[in-house]
Amino acid sequence: MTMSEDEPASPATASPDVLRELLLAVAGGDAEAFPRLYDSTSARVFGLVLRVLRDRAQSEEVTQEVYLEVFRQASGFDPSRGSALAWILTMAHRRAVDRVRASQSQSDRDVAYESRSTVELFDPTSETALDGIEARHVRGALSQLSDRQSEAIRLAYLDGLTQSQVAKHLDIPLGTAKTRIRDGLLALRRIMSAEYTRKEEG
Amino acid sequence: MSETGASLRDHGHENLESLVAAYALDALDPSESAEVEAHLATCPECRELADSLRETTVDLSQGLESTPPAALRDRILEAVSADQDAHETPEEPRLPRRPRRRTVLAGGFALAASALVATGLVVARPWRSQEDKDIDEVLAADDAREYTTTWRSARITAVRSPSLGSAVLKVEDLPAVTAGKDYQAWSKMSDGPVSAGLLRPDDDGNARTLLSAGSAEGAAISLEPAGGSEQPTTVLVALDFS
Ligand SMILES: [Zn+2]
Repeated sequence: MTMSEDEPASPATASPDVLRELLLAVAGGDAEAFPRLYDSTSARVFGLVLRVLRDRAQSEEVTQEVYLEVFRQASGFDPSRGSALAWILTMAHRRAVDRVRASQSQSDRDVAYESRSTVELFDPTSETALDGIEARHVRGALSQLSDRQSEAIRLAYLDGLTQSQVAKHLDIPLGTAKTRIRDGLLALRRIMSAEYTRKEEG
Repeated sequence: MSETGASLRDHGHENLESLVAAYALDALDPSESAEVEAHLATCPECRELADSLRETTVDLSQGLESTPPAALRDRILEAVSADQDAHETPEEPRLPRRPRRRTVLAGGFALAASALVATGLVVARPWRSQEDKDIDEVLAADDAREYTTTWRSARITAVRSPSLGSAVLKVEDLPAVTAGKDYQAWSKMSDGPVSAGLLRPDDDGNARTLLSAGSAEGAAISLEPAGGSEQPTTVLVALDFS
């Protein structure tokens, strides 16, 4: 089988139930389950890690670490506490953020931010050029928050900044940054659960 | 209740919510994060909040999907199946990973440059039950001998069984490591240190790991860049088996 790297995503968008069963099967030692779990989630994992790290080589390394961890820790997944996707993306995000914070000292990072123009950091010929991705993404969850909240959440979650770094970056008091992050995330939870309820009913 | 719990309570409910929200976004400093985790361990209400906010973060990366290269899939599936084989073959000699790891490390940088080592996977702690069983066996061995020391708040114990040809390194109350760093365990062999993997303490600062075979002369813990190093850079504490 030949498969080029440029082949478009095949987002096998498995339902939460399917992912949960796959992850539980991995935990149970089912050898068939892991590749299926990988195929159903890797575009999400890689996409998130790539967004945080903005470096393909490092993102591939982190993605590999994440899946080894998923495999080894699968028995620690507790479906009563959340979805399989949340469990996996939590690992992915932590590792990506650890990598960001390890690779750059705080001051390096601040300098990087001053000079950062989001698109410049990316190879514009790559299929992951930010334009399309960010445009699609902006229509998503974050677009439903106030600009200030969505900005704070984006800096924290997608750029991997701590809340102190968010405050510094936006030149606002730490308390204000904390409030924006908290209110933004709580609002998002409300919005998403309302959407979910609507879908369920509709 | 711990001091941590008390100080979190003093923050008041509203502040606690902010801390948990920032925690769910991985936007806390390591010390704050450790504080929240300590609280979550004892407070079901906040744990539920944290879980539900983690769930919410899933939506933040929706639309960012990017298919990783097929070669990465191959590497990952290969690594996983090697990992599986390593602890599912009962005929395999006891403690198969240590010698293998040693070979890789001794094999120099050609091998070290392979994807596994480059990503720190070789030294990452596997949380596998076979290893736990091996550890329990060493701890329960008739000829097990203990060597103890301390570093800061941590109590460090090595337990060595000459008859089993292996040893276990246990730490208790090891301080949380700062971001971008990892603790790494080492066996002191006559020809130099051999990695025994990363030490990833749990919320209470406890961890244990198997050390290299019987010829080890001691053990050490070092502080390394995240993912670990080929050779120890900053040794924090060392123990001699003598
Ligand atoms: Zn609480």
